[in-house]
Amino acid sequence: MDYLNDILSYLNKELSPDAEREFLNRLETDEQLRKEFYCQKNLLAVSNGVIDFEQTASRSDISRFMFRLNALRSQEKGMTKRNRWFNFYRAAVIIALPIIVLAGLKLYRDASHTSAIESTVFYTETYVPKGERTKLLLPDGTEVFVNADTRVRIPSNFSPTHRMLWIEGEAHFDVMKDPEHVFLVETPSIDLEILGTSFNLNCYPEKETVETTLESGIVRFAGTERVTIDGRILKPGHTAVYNKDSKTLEVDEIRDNELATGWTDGVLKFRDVTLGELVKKLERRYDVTIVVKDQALLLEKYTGKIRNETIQEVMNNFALATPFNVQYRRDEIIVSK
Amino acid sequence: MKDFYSGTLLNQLHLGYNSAYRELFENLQPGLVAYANEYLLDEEISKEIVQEAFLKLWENKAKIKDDFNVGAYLFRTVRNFSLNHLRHLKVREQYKGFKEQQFQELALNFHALSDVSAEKLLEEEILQRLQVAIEKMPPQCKKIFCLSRFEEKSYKEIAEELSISVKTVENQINKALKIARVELKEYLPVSLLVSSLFV
Repeated sequence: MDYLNDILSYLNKELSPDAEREFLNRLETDEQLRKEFYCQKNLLAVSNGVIDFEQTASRSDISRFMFRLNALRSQEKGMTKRNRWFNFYRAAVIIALPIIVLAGLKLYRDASHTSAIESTVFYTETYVPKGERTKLLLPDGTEVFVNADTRVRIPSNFSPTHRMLWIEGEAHFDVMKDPEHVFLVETPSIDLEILGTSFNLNCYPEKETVETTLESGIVRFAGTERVTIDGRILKPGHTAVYNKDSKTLEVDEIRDNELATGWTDGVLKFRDVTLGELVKKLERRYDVTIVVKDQALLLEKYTGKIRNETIQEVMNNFALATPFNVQYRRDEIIVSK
Repeated sequence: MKDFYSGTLLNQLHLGYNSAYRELFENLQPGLVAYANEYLLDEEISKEIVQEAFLKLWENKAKIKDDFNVGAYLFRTVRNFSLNHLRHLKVREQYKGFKEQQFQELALNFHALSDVSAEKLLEEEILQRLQVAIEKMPPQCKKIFCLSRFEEKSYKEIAEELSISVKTVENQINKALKIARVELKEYLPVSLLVSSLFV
C-alpha cells in the first residue's frame, strides 16, 4: 500500500474536504500510516528549516533579539529591579528637560505571548523644530546633539545596559564607551551599532543617502532586510555614504569632516552643493520657506561657509555669485531669475 | 542555513559577544521560524519561541566548546519549546475559541513533534546529511521548495510565476521530500522505509 502519496497530498493540502476527513479517520485507526505520517511531517519541517535560501532575519526581529540579550546580560550581572527602575526615572527626568515638543507617545504593544522579560515599551519622541538645535543627555552618559527638523525616539526601557534609539534627521553623537553593551542607532533605512564613539549621522528623509562621519571609535553597519552591508566597519576621519536606492555603502576617505560636523559649532560649510540642496539646509537652519521659481537655478552650485549671517545676508551673497532676484514675503522667500 | 561555524565564532559565542549572537541570529532565525511554524501554524508565536531559544543558547554559553553544533542545539531547543507550547494549548484552547479543524491539526502536529522521528531528525549527523541532500536537489526543485516556504506562495502562484502547471509544482515538492528520504534512509526506522523504497 502506498501511504506516501496520500500523506504528501494531505501535507500539500490538495485533498478535498471529504478526502481529508477520510484521511484523518484512517490516521486514527491505522498505526502504520500514523507513524509514516509523523515521519513525513517531521521531515518536511526539518527540510524547511535547513534549506539554504539566502534569507536573513528582519531588522526588527534582530533588534528585538539584541534588546532582550542585553536585558538578560544585565540580569545576570545581578542588577536589581530597583536599580533598573531608578535608571528609568533618571532617564525620564534627564530626557524630559531638553524636550521641546513631546510629539507623541506611541504605545507599543509587545506581540509576545510567552516573554517574561519584556512587557510594555513606550517611546518618547523628541522633535527639534526648524531653526533650533538641542542637546540630549542619556542615562548611560551618551550625549546627542540634535540638529533642526529631526525626530528622536527613545524607548522607556533605555538603560546603560540597554542602549538604543531611533532617529530621522541629523545628530552628532558622543556615545559613552562600553564594549559590553552595544549602542544601537536605528534610522528609517539602516542601523548602526556603536561601542564608544563620536560621529555625525545625517539621515534626513529627502536625502538619497545616509551619511555617517566618524571622528573617533568604531561604527559597525548593521544592514537591513535584504541588504548585506553587515559587518562593515568605519575608520575615524572617514565618511560612510549609504545610498537608499541602490542599497550600497561606500566609504569616502577624503571628505572634509567640517562639512559634516560644522553645524555643531553653528557653522554651515558647503562645497559644490546645489542650490536645491542648500535650500533644504537653509530652511532648517533659519526656519524659513524658500521657493525657487526657476528650475535651472536649483542646479547652480555653491561653495562657502555661513556663521552668524542673517538669512538676508546669505541670500544676497548667493545672488551676487549667480544673479537672481530675491523677494522677502512674510512667510516665504522667493528666488527668481 | 550555514552548517559549519568556525572555531572563532564558537569561541565568540562562548565569550558572549553581541556581534557573534547577532550574526548567528541573522542567519539561522528564518529557518528555525519556518521549522516551528510548520507545527505551530502561527508565525508570531514561532518567532517568539525562536527568540527564546537563542536567549537560552546565551544562558548556556559556558557549554559551547569546539565540537558544539550550534544549529542542532537551536533546533532541539525550538522543538522542546514548541512541544511545551502545544502541550499547554489544550488548556488555553477553551478560552481562545479555536476552530475544531485548526485544533485537530495542532493536535496532530503535537503528536508528530512528540514522535521519535522528530527527535531523530535533529541529531547532528542527520541534520548535516539532510542539508547535503537538499544541496543536491535539482535547481528547479529547490527553487520551488524555497518559493513555497519563504514567500508563502500557494502552488498556484508558484505555477504562474514559473509558467508551469500546478501539478508540476506538486511533483517537484514531492520529489524534494523523496530525495531527502532516500538520503536519510539508513537513519530512519526500517519500518518507515518500506513504502518509500517502492516509490
